[in-house]
Amino acid sequence: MGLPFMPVKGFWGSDYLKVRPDFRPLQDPFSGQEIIVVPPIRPDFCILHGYAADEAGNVLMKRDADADLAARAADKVIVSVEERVADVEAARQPRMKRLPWVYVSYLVEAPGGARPTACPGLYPADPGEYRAYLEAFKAGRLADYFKERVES
Amino acid sequence: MKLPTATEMMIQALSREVRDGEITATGTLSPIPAAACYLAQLTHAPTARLLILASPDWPFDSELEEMFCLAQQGKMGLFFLSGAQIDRQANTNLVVIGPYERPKVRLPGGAGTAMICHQARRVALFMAKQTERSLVEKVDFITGPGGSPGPGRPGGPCRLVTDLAVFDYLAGQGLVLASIHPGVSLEEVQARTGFPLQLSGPVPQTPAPDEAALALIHGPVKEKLAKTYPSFAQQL
Repeated sequence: MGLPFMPVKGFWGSDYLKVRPDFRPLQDPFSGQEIIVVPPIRPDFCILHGYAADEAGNVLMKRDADADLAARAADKVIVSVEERVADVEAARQPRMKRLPWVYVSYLVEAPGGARPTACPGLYPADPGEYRAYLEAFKAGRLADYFKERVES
Repeated sequence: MKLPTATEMMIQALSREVRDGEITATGTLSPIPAAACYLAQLTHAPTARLLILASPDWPFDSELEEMFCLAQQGKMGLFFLSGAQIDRQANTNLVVIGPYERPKVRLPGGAGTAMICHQARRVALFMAKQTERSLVEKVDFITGPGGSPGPGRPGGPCRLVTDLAVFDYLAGQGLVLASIHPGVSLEEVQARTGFPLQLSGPVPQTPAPDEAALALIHGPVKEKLAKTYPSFAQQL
């Protein structure tokens, strides 16, 4: 949105106000009421996975998701997709929405790229793989894990 | 007669918070409130307008953005909220166990809790496993403020439903034991509460779901729930 800060309702009485000095009260110039304002998040990169992309760089992503907000906020946006299509509008299915090319910096064709998390409608999350990852992490074997499970 | 399970009791008790015609929303990992919403819609609240996060009926083109805006507009009647800790002032903690700077356990975080808790007209708290370490005197970190007032706050917590009992939230007093589930003793509730219980008199038993309600829970409610919470529905 390109704004210097955003008012957020509530937050009064929460400990966020103790640990986040950047969440500050301000007087609403219109109502006179106090309101908390928060600074913008400006990520250098946003990485998201979509269903499909076309030559123009338009992307089909999950409809009930907020990753498009991250894409709009980020400086550079890297999108991986399950497949390439001629035209995302023709390929669009229910429960998908379009992320326009304007927000997309780089596209990667990566079928299964959301694994081991889900790509709703195509494949489910894989809890067994989460466990394997966590076990490898706890045992300090992450490098081996990536070699075995990702790079192979 | 067979005693209802703790889950059936919670579904029944939480469903009574849902009102006809009102916008009622559930958040992440909330299968019990979602079941309570579906039960209410099949019984006393047929026109309840339900927002069950991640369900096929989710009406928005966003995950949380529009729901958050709806809450800020004051259009949310009821929200269901839980926490790793809940305290006697109905504060909830989803951020950290231990000191914030040196966490013993780093929790997933509150998402919109600190806003929704303020902006929903009523907040029904739930806790699937009440222990003296989860229902505490004071939470380590206030994510969702309980009773504290604030500019423009229309409501706040009204109830806490656990696997043992129902508590009312009363301004100035905090959580007051309202009823105990069948088969649970007052001593057990006290043993699994991290502060001295407040009673307003003899404590009645929480009304158990009748046969019709149980049939709904294990029939159409379970069926709807399975679309969003398949493994939970399977174990119901």
